[in-house]
Amino acid sequence: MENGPLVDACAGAKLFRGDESPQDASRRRFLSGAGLLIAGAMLPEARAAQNRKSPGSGHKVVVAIVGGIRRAESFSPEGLQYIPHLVSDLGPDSLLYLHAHNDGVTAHFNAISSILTGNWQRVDDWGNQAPATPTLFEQYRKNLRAEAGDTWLVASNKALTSRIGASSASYYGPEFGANVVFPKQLMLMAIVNALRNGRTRDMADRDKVEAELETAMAGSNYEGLGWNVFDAADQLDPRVRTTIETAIADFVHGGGPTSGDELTFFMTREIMRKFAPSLLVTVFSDVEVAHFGSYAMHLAGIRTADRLVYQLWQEIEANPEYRDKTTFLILPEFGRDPDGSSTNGFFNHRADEDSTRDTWAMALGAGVGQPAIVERPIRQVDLCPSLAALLGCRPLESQGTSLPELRG
Amino acid sequence: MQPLHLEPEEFAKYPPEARMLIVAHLEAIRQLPVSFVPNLLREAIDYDFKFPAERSAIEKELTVISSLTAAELEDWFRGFAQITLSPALERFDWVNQPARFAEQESAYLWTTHQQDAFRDAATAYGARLLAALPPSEPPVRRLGIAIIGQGVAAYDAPLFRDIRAQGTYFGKLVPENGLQLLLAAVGSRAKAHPVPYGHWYVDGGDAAEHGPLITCVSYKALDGARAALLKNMQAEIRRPGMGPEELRTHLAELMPSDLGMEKAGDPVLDRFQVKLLTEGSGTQIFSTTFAQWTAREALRRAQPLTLLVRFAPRQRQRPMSELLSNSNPTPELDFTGSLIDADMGAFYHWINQQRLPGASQSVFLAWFEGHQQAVVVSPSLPRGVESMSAIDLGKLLDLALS
Repeated sequence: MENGPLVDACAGAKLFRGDESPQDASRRRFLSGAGLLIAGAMLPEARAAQNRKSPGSGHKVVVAIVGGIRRAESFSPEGLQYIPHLVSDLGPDSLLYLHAHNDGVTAHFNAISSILTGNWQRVDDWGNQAPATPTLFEQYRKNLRAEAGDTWLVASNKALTSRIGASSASYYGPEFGANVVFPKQLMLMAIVNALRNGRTRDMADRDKVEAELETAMAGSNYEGLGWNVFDAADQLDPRVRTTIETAIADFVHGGGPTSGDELTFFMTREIMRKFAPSLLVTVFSDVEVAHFGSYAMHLAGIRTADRLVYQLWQEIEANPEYRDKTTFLILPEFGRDPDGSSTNGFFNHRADEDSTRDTWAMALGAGVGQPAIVERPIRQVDLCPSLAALLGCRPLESQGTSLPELRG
Repeated sequence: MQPLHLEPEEFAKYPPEARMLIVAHLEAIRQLPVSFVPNLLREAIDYDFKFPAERSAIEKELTVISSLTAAELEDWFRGFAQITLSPALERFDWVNQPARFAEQESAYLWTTHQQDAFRDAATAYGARLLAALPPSEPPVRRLGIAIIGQGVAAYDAPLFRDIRAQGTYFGKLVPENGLQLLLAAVGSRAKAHPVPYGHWYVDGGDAAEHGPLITCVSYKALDGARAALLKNMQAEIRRPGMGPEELRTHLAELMPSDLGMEKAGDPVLDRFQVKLLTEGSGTQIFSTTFAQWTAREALRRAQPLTLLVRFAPRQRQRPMSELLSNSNPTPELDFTGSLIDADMGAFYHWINQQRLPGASQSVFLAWFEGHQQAVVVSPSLPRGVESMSAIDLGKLLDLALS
């Protein structure tokens, strides 16, 4: 009822798979052509190794970070309606920290890098600087001599850059960092590059496709706004790039109605199936449509994230590489500003108020001894040392304190 | 440059009224810290294109500053004086580019961890200014009207959830001619209290017929400007080195002529409309966001006595696959989603109205267009109750304003 866009998307999915509509045929042709373009951009690199044994404790960690969600639209009496899977499907088996505070900078890059380092970061909001202290990726890889393919971050947030995968700390850095993938950006880049290079012979009508892409890129919808696809450098390790691009091509061929988070989920699941990394972080950001002022779309984004984290948990339980040895952590980056704030309420996340800082975290799986609701407030920086301990890393000095409820 | 060395000639590029105003207070401005002055000039440089309420606020602020003794100036601006700026910032042409300076100053304060100190100084200054200049009550009770749900045939979930507790909920209104009755009431108020930019009608779609004394802004009327802006943004995004902050700075400097707006238009309103599109995230693409943001900015800047906002359906969220194929260049409208957006927009409209002087006497009406549901917040009506009176919207408004 209140998820208008989601309902539309589902209806669209049925249409898209049907054969009745002439529009569908042209849409499928275009998407099929787009898939070929991406396939054409693939590099003939070797695939990364599969089924490696996890170093350290053998424990795996999957973290799903969702953008800014207020308590009012999640774990509150009026908000539970938007998170049915978290409440009913995941909640009963989970360790739910009802109050997980973001006491740092409530901007995307700083919030995520604080969660990943266990220290409140205060670097450039737009990812022009790396986190100042080692990320969990680096701690894990350096400490346990894990391979590059064993740590990944997948995101659709426009405010992140590949610097989120490794710090600027001495003795650490990109050498020990994660593979960072921005699938939506990669998809758009592949198509744009193909158009630029004239490799569009597979299209029925090149001019039409180019005009269509121009329209899409011109920002007639929020999905197109803000992506600087022409300057975006592909930082991916060549050894894994082929797999990523193939996955994107598959996604495009699949052709369901999609959002950035759907693509991020699809890519995350592909990475789990192809590489089975021990440490995987995925960042969902559809809720950030709030910055564009649509409350209905923001609510739809919450429902989408709720569904996708549940599907991610289902994948963890179904995938033998993950089943019974994985801790799954779900948390928002922060809340959003309260109604009545000078920052226009839910649009933003800048206010120094509980609505923005007081959020929650849910843990499931092998690291959860006993399902419980923990009312004691924790800080988001407490999560990194807790996860590091689960992975078998020696603890680094940090502002966070390991949580006693999480243990392998 | 330090403010102490400011001379009248340095403001030669300012619009005439802004220049006159600044020069009249130059002696006082010279005594102020460099971390503060560009922020003052940032407001003053647009004086010629501000609404009367804003012009009055700038005039009064400068008058208060000019009235302070040397000791008081030192006391008021001590926090700002303790902020240190880089030599590059001090050399910056902050007289002619105060907005750009403010952006760079903000970034510098962030990197040097002085942001909190600056915020504290600004908060203390604001409090002192407010004490020196208590707001005056409006000449008539302020009236806000939000019309939501255009085109929605039926909606079963509760509406106005966040406002109901503040007023009376009406469930059996007579909806016929509701829009016309409400617009007529706005027109009558404009005639009775002829204040420049005092009575507004904002439409998220195509504006309905309305009285000549009403200031009107509509999403439809800005179609051309929005298209020009999106084209401009896309061109800028493609430029090497362009990032979110650079783009924001670029957008802040756009003028009505850059977006093809009529030269013969109202220069104050044209500037306002450009700001709506360049400063409001989402206003370029979602009509509901445009209507909400316009209401917020009109209340904040023009402080109208009457503000009617009519939300219209926005485009449906387009999935990425559809964006790539663009098989449907005229996207469908999302009626229900727009109603939810507008319901929240109406709540924010009321909140923002309550920030203005005379809040305790102000009246707010939100109506589900074409339907029987409305909520009214008024000192004349009880709070948190429901009424099943079958009255039309004209009479309801009379009741609320009585």
